[in-house]
Amino acid sequence: MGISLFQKSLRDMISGMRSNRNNEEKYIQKSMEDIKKELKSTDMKVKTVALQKLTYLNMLGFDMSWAAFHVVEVMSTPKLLHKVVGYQAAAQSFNEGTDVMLLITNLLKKDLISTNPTERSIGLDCLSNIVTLDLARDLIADVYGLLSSSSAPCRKRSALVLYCCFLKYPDALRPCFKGLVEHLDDHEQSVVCSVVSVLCELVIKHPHNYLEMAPLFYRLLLNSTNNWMTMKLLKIFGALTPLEPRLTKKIVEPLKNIMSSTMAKSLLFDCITTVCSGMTSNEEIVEMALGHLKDFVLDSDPNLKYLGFKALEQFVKHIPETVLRFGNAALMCLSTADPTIRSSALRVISGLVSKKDLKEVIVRVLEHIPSADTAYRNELSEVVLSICCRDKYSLVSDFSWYLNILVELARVPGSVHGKTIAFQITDIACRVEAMRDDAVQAVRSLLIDPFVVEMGKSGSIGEVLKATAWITGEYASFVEHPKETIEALLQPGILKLPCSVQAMYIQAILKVFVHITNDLVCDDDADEASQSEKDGSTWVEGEDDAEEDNGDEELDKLGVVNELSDLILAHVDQYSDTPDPEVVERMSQLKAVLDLQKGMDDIKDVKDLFSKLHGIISEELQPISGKAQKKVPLPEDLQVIDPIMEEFFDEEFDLQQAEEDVEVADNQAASVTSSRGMDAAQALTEATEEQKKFADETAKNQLKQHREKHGVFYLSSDDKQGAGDMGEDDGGEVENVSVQEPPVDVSEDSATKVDALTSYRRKKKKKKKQPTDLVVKQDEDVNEGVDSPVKINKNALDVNPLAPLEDGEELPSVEAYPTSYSNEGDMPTYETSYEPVHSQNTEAPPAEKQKHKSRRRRKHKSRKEKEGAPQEATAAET
Amino acid sequence: MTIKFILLVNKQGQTRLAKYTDEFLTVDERTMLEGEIVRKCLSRTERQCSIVQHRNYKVIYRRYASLFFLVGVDEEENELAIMEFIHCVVETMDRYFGNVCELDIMFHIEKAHYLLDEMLVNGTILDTNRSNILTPLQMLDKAQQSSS
Repeated sequence: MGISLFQKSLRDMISGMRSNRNNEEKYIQKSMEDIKKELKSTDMKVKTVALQKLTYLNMLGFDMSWAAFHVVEVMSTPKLLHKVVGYQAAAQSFNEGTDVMLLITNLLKKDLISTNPTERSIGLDCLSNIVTLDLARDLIADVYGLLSSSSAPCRKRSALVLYCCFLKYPDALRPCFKGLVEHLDDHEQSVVCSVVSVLCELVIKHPHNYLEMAPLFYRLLLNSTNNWMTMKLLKIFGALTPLEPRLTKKIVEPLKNIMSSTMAKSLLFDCITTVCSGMTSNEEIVEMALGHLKDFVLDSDPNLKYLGFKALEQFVKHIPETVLRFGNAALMCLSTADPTIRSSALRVISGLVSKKDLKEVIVRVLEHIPSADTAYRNELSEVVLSICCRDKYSLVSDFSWYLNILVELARVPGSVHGKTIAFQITDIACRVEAMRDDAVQAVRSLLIDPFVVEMGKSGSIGEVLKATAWITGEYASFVEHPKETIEALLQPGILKLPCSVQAMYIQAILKVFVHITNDLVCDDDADEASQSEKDGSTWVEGEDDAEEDNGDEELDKLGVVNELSDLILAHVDQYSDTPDPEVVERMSQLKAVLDLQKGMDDIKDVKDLFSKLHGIISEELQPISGKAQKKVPLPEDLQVIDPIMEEFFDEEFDLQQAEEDVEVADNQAASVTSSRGMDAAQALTEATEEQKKFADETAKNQLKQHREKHGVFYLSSDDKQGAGDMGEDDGGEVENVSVQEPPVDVSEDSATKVDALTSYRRKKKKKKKQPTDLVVKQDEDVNEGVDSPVKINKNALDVNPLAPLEDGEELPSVEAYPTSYSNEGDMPTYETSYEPVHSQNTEAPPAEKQKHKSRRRRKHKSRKEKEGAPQEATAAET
Repeated sequence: MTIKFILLVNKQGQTRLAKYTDEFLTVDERTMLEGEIVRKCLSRTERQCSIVQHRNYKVIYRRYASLFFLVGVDEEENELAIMEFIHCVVETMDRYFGNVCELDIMFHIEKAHYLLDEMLVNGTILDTNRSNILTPLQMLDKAQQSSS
């Protein structure tokens, strides 16, 4: 490219950047200033080079949206070499918001009908990158025209560009579809391939619309010699077979041939995914696919291994029992160096594990924890936790074993799953009565280990310690070594744990102490001898004087109790500096109980006190089934719809007035009462039914009192209904949960759709370019299966191009202008006559439909006529 | 089934070529995305697989001498096919530049872009036949020579 004497070329700038590596930023700034000046030049050469440099800088992350107009200038130069630069810049920097976009429509149109193949191809390419609704609408006829060009490269490119246009302008799909499909018979293989690519995209987005075309695709699959095309066809069948199981039988043979003959791993992999997505019912082909998959998984190439596991994940979802044999391979992969492969293998393992091999699998997973890094350790723990708690621990048959696993997981350094572990331990202890003993023994090792307490300072293990303390306290009857336990609960390290954990520890001390004392002093009614024997040996380690002297037994018992309380009192003061009120309060409670006990000399008093205290804490916390509420029959006279509180809400309305009055009167007592009334009203929205009733009653009473007291301020209110209504709504909403919601008014729904359509039309006139959103709204229900980043596009193209036209539906008459209309003339007629039509899935309500129909005055057309019509129109035009 | 972006990055993480297709990202979004992906991919060892999930992209990369070719695709795309595509790009560049190296791509960035445009239409693979791809490119070169 000719460069003027003083201008730096792109090459100069790049080498300049290289030689100024240390102050590159400054250099770029300088270049940017030069570019800005050069872009204003009248010399097209200078301008073009400047734009070229700017495009390069843009690629490196510098803004060039300000130069949009200069881009258009360069694009419109007649010289091809300059043009190319301009088009490249436009493709890179233009988007829907670029305002100069309107200027390039005619420019592109000129290129599309140019005789120069390079101009056509850069025009098409630029269009494909920057296409908007407006551009698509204005240019689709030209692109479609190029589909019948004599040059094969042009045909294949235009097929793909058509697809880009469909995405922005879905209504064009139907009229263009037939012409597109015709090119499946193109004598040029590359054109067929690109048409198949387009169809593949369309089918993947809305497979149900294209089922009828399956025979066509089948024929192509049989004759395809191009691997790229075969892959696309396989993708198509992968999308179609789940919808039409009979297809499976049909394509088994060709698939088998491909799998056994192909050398390309990519094609093989596509075969496997196709089998997985819809052909899992056919054992033979599944066997074959799994055989190949095994080679992938066992291959030393990490890419193949990874992809093998990814495919396996899909198989696990569909047919877990068939892929069981891969379990071992997956377990072996847990030690590979690649975290992506490991995660995938873990997901496979988690899908394959069964009740029988749970223990073995978990143990083998846990083996990897010591050698893993923190992230991987957490990943492994997470997998173990999620496997075991799946479906309410349905896989776990030995809870005692699992409790120990949980304790082991809690000790994993840097674990972030403390909360889950804590929940599961508590959950199991609560739910499974037989496990409480084991739970207390299992958590004991955590409780007494100062190292674990040290770990609790940071990370989530604090949660586990909290659960540990709770279980120890709640199920204190299973505590085997009370003294040791109480000592553990009093460890100084606990002060470093979060306050909520500390509070739980203090509570646990109280519970354990009360329990021990109660057992010591109160159990002599029944089998005294055996009990005391047990007491002596288990409760007070190394102190068996209780047994020796039966006469002083009671005194001894008191001695034991005193010893324990001394121990507690000696340490409990460590909490006195805590800022947390909860901790302080529980500490003083504990101290109060101990002081009370200290002051008692008579064992009878102690017995009395502790049997009462024990009564308080020993009430067991029962797990409640999630469905428990449903089992309670509804009382017949329960009114959930009628306002139960009309009176109250009415009065509440008055209450506000009263409040104002009260403020004026500055009557303190009244303000207290009324604010309480408000509290009750607020509680109403949150509380459960019973609480609510209670609150209501209290509020009512308070109001009554309030009224009696300040009757003077009350006026009889006529506004009863309004206030009552509001209240009813609130109350109704809470209570009506189980009442089925009224069905959504369909007509109203479609009315909104029509609204959307009309607004769409309005928007279109104003040249706003976001039709896709609206289309999404209309078709939302159609395709909710697969979540994908291209959701908008996905829904936008849900037009069934194969279906006959609906009564009253009109096609945008693109086909009427296939190849030739002059670009300098008026806008094409199809644009002015175009009206957005209802697609198949959005039906307007009858009235609306009628309106549309009469407005458009359309005749009913049969499908045949529809297909014939465009050709006739074409003929008439030409 | 579309390619979302193609990045050519050297060992130091400097972008040598960036081409975005299918969806428009602002300059800032691009820079950020490139930073994240380059950091993620370049830190991987050879024993790890060269397919990385990043945000909603699958990134497939291959290393040729000092240059990394990174391609971002959507969920449905076949990873192995993309690897073949990358190889095809490299072979085509090799044929065009003759023993292609980082500097060739750097100093003929517009040619590289044009070459990719001949292979892709907004993210969908258009052609993988080397002579088909290079014919228009050579025509353009001729036009350039005759003009200068």
